Amino acid sequence: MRIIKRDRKSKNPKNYEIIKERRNSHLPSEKQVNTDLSDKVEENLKKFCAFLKESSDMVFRKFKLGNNGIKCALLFVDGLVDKTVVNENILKPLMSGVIEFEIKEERKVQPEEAYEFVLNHAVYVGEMMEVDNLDEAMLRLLSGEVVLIIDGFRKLLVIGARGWSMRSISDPETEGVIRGAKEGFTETLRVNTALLRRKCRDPNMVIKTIRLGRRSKTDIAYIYIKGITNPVLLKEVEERLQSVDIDQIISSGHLEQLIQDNTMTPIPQIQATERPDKAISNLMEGRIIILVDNSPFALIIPTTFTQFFQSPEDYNERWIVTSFIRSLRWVASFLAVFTPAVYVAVLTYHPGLIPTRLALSIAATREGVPFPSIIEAFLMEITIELLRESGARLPTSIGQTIGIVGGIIIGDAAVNAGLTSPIMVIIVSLTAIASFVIPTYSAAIALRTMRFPFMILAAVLGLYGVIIGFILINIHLVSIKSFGIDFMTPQAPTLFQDLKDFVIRAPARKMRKRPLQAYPIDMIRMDMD
Amino acid sequence: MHIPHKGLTGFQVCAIVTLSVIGISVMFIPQRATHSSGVDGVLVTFIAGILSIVLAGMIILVSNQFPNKTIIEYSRQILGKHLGFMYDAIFVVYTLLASSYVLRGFADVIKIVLLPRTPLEVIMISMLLLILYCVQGGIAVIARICELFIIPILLVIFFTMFFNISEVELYRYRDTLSNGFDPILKGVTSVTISYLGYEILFFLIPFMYNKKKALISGLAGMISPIIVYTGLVFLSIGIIGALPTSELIYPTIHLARQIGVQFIERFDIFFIVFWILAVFTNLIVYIYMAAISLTRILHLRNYKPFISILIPVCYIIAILPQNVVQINLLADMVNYGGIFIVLSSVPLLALALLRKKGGRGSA
Repeated sequence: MRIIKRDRKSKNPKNYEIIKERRNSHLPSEKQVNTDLSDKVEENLKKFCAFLKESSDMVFRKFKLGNNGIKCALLFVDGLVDKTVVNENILKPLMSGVIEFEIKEERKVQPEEAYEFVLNHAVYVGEMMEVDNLDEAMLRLLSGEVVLIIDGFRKLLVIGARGWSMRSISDPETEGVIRGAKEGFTETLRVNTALLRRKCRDPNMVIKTIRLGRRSKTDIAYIYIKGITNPVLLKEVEERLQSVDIDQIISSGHLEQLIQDNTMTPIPQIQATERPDKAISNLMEGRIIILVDNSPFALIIPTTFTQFFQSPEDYNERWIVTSFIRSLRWVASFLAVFTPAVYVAVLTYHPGLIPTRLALSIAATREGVPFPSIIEAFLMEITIELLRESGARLPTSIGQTIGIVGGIIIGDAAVNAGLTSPIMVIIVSLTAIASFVIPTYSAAIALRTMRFPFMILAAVLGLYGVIIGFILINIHLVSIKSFGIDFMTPQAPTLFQDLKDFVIRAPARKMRKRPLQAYPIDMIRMDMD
Repeated sequence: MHIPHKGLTGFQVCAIVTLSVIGISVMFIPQRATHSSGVDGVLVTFIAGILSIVLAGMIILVSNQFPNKTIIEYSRQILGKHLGFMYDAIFVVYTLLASSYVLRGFADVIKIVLLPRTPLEVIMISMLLLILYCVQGGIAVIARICELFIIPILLVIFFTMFFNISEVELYRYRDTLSNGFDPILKGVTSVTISYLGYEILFFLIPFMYNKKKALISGLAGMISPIIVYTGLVFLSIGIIGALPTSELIYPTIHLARQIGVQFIERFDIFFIVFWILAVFTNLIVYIYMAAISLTRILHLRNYKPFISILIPVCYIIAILPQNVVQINLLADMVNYGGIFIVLSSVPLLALALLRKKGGRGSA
């Protein structure tokens, strides 16, 4: 059943087998050392030291176990482990607990049984595993686990005692809601998966982790619900993730660009969200969530164009109100792209289109303006983009000043100085405000970028140019895909069932089936009878 | 599970048919209808619509005999090698001429209404480049563009019609049927030409996902053109009068101009803007037909290189006519070709059934 057409062309053309092989091969620095484990503590330590002794954050703690003096060593990275756990639950029982045990039992722990003894009696930590491979141990050590080497054994114990200072769960700033959960993803992958688990206790929710990045070895978790997510989609996602071969994954936004379908487009084909509730409801629609360690944004796969106009808030409010707000957002998206272009076109080519009195008053306000309307529009639009960009990178307190300086002073002064007409100021502010109504930042910024080519088209060909641009964008939108799913579903191809959650959001009781967009294998969401 | 990816859905077929019919003719229909039959134009338009629906049904029935083939392949099976080749050649020439005619008519309207000082060449070339980009995406992209545009286009047309209804003066219809049925018979032929565009059905069936829906969705696609055309003719006669309508070149623009919406002084420009979308879909369908029939005649699979060849040809044919007389010559050629092709569905169906070469099983 090949429902989702796999687009071979858009994928990384490299052979997966070669990539896998290369990923498992050692980095240049590892090649100088024989990575086989020995049964001597010193030799094993030396092997770790070969890589790590120059780093100041490494802790190598040698000690002796019990009265027989079995040599042991504890390795961890300072700052990545919870010191209390290391001291109280690992070192304390190993050093004094063993001796107490020997006194009580009146026998000594023999070197041959040391490993079993430690495993069974001497460490008070839940998460523990044995590793017989230096690479694996090294990776775990550097991800914040504690490595215990015991003399006479060719295997290592890896004890989970991760604990570092992290940002606490806070309000998701980019996707605020009024009536909804106020928690957002953080930078730590485990916290993020826990946030999802807390919202869905379905044992079918699978959280799979792979490591990407030859050097950074970043944890990437992809999450789906078995029995809802389409296996074809899952396979596609897995293949694309495995085809990534890079030294470091910077963030989820970076990964997004490595696995997306089309590069030559301003439109994002994967949605990023900071909200666990949004992520979980997308999971329930048969989509796949990708979480990247160190990145507070989850990726939603596949994404369609309508999703950029949906906000979790929509499902918290009554359907009539929501439908109104949804239509407002669609209108806003048109305003954000077309207002300046239509203004330029109408003023330059078709002044007859506007009512005579308005035309006269526009002409009166433009009397002193020395530029043609296209230059005027470009000037003002670029100014507002400058204001937005400078405000975005500044601390909030200064950002407000920028708003005041830009909005009031430049706007008013530019009109008084005769550089621009007041109508143009209105048009530009309207565009800016409209573009901020769209709930998804990356989509809003894509739409904002588009209005510049539209303005040029309008200046060259008038309304005909604007409509040419409109058709062009529509052709582009219906051509692109997100993981094999047509980007413009449910408008084109029209899925009538999905139109319930399009401009109008149907009442919650009417949405009995999941949306078809991601082709879930289980369609029924609600049984009413 | 419902899988719309595998081919065209019923709604897509319906949208393609509707838009390729409405396309350019929506501008001329009141003039054509009143020119030959005066006040009876309303009846004539309706009857021609019914006739077109029947013909569209015929086309679907023929195509259903060969559900996996386009007209180019099965015409040879029905008509034999040489006759079939000639028929296919007519098809290519017709689609090419039709697209050129549509392009020229479109550019003329744009030049008159929107851009009086822009040369025709610029309007045509910009449109053709857009078509080149769109048709490269294949029938899937064409279908999606059609279903995306059909709602706004129909909305604007119905909006125009709705706001004109109050202006209708009923006394203008009192001469209906006063001359007997002769003007009706005379008019039906010329109005049936305005419904052309549903020839695309010859090509759509093999790409459909659910071929059983072909008949119903194809015919459904013909319904809104009938309503739109009949409505426009009705309104033109009721508002402008039969005789003045027959002397206007673009009576539909005249109707749109009548509307005085508070915030748009000239509604006709607004109307034209949406009409561009309709013409665009009309053009991509014709160019696609030309490209795919040329490819299939030569027994090739990839039609994309042919688009780049056909588009300059289309441009040259469209730019050649120097005056209205020459444009009308082109129009006549297109109209006769179209009527020939549409009517050919009847003998094709008869032959296919007689020679038993088709049949759902064997094809």
